[in-house]
Amino acid sequence: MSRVSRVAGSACWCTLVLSFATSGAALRAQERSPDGVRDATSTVFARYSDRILKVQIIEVASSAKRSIGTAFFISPDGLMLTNYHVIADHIHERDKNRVEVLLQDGTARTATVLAVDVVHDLAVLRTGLTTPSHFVLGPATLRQGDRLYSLGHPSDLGLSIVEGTYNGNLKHTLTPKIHFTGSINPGMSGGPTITADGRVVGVNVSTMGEQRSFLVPEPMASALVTRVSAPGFTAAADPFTEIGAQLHDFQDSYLRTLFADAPKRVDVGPFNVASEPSALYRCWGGSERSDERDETPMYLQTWHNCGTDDDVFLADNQRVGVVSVKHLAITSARLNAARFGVLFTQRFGLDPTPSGDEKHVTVWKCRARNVAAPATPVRAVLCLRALKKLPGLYDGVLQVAVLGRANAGLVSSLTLSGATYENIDRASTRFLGLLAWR
Amino acid sequence: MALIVEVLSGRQGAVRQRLRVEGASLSIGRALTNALILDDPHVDGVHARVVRGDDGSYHLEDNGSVNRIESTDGLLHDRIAVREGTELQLGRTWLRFRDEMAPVAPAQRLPRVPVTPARPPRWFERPRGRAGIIVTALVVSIVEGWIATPEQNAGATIFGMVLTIGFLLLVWAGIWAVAARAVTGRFAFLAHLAIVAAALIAYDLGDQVKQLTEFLFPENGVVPVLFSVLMLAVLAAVVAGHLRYASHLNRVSRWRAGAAVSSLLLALYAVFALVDDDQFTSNASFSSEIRTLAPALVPTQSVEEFSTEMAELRREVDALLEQR
Repeated sequence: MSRVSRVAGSACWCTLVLSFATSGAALRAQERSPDGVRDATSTVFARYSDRILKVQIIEVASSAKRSIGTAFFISPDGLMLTNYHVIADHIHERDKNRVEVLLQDGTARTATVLAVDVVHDLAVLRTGLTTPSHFVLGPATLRQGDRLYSLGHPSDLGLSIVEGTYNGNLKHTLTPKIHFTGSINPGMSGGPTITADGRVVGVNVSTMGEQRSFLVPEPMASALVTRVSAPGFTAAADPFTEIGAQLHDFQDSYLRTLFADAPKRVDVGPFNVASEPSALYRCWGGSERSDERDETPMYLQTWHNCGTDDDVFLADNQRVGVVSVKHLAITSARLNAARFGVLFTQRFGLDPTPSGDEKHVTVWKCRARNVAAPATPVRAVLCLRALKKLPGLYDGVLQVAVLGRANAGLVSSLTLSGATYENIDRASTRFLGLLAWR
Repeated sequence: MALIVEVLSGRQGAVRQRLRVEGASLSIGRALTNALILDDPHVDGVHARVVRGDDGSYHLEDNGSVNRIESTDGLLHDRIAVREGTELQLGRTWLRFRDEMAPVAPAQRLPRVPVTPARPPRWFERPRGRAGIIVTALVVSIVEGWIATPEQNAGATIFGMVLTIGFLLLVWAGIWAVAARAVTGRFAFLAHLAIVAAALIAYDLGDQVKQLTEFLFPENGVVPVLFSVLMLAVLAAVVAGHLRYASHLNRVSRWRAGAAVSSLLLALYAVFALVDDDQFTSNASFSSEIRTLAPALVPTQSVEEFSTEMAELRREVDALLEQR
């Protein structure tokens, strides 16, 4: 899933060409469809396009934009909603990047960020301008297949409208996301997806390409707007205090009970291990022989990986909210103990840690020990790094090798990001208790 | 006991002459008839006589000389008993009497390192012994390559690996052999090859032990230090060994040269460690050695202890934050 803001420079030419080709095909398809469809879309566009703005992140030093996104009016006094990831560069480097909004008539105004909801990837902006028209947030009743319209500025090509269908909420995400079958493209992030009568269903947030797009559901946006509109609301002096508090609560909501009561267990090779920590997680697996043509291969590898489909965007190259569980069982009928040990060492030595940016995280510090886990002796390595701007939050990876036999081994890892140390410690301890031989 | 007369150059000076008193008496004087002749104008022709008594003790008796016998306290004597350490003056000449049975102080050690001719072990001098080392190194390399390649068709990989190592060893030994020919006139190629092959065996075995220890006692600070020291010693031995056949240096100098090369390497490493400015990396590095030993042989800690270690790790990470 890739986020849908950020377009700048020439790196996107292939995307642009592709999007031209796709729209051409769509146009021809529409020519054959009943006239009513085209009329409805053009009516929606005509009616609501003046509520949509383009958001530009202006790099102060070069006075030029480094990324674009979309925002929309949600109150008469000019409050605008967009994605957190659209304005994240400004949050992280306030002096370096300015938020600018462009109205339909081309007027440019500098905007301030009033509040963010980093977990659901939302932000509220204000310029001081009032607006004659705006969207009203509120619940909408939808059925799968309902036609929706998404508005935004794809690849800085000008305000566009995209048709698509409502396909309900995704099932394997930590934060709720609506599956919108329509082409949301980079630059449309922060734009609204609405019904024909102008009800906001969600905020454009990400895409997997080929019409698989995702929206932040309207109730998340309403909650944030309600908070900002409440009397006595003041913007947080330090945005990272706000972001830190949100992430603290968020990670606690799904990590406190991770592997707590009788988690699902599966057999992977000769091992019995923890699988889907909850229904939100999805597991994929497979197995392969060291040589597919060989009837008696050197060894057999079986893998079983679980994770959620989403994560939380913190900065351009820094994600948090990741939970992943990976198991790799290696068995061999042909390798002797020494050679199997080398193979085991090679697989165990593969770095399981997610990448990171020096601006946001410290380097990894690891500790390796041989541990008597409840069911089997293991080699356990815990790697930990701190999030520099968010005190009390860490990324943690526990990598474990299950010991005990000369021709079979298991490499398992548990990856948590943006979590408190207590939750990492608790989940790691529970994880160690869930590794066993069959 | 027998008495020795020492003629000194000045009071308590160096001994110029020593004479053993044989028989019952010994005459001392300037005349050439004396047993002990003193070229001193203040000494009489026959100045004095050393006389042995019946009890075995000795006396010095004046022979009516001009200046008589003077003791260290300045008194003049006609007859005086002499024993171990007695010093007396005849004219301007000082004599000291010694008992030959008096104990002597142990010899002082010389302040230089004794130089002994060094020879390598007998078996190493024989071509068969050298060939044995080279073949052993080859076998060790093949076995290690085989263990390190737990894949299908490992043969080609192992062959390539052994070929590379063999080639490097041949080049290394060749360079030393050419240098040896220039200095000593002899190539001694097989000796040089055997020396570097022995070093390879030492390295491989040391590395295996290090990895096993790393698995059993992970992140133990002593292991890598010991291994480095061992490898520096091997390097010093290799250099010293090559120099045995490529120079005329004695053993001490050869080992000094070896130690110098090892120290240089250590110094270079230290400089690089200092210059290395902690580049940020998002890769984690950890001790990943695993050996398939029986569980009973692997020392483990409890989950609670591991949890305590994790808390220490957290403090380590928090310390990184404070550094900024």
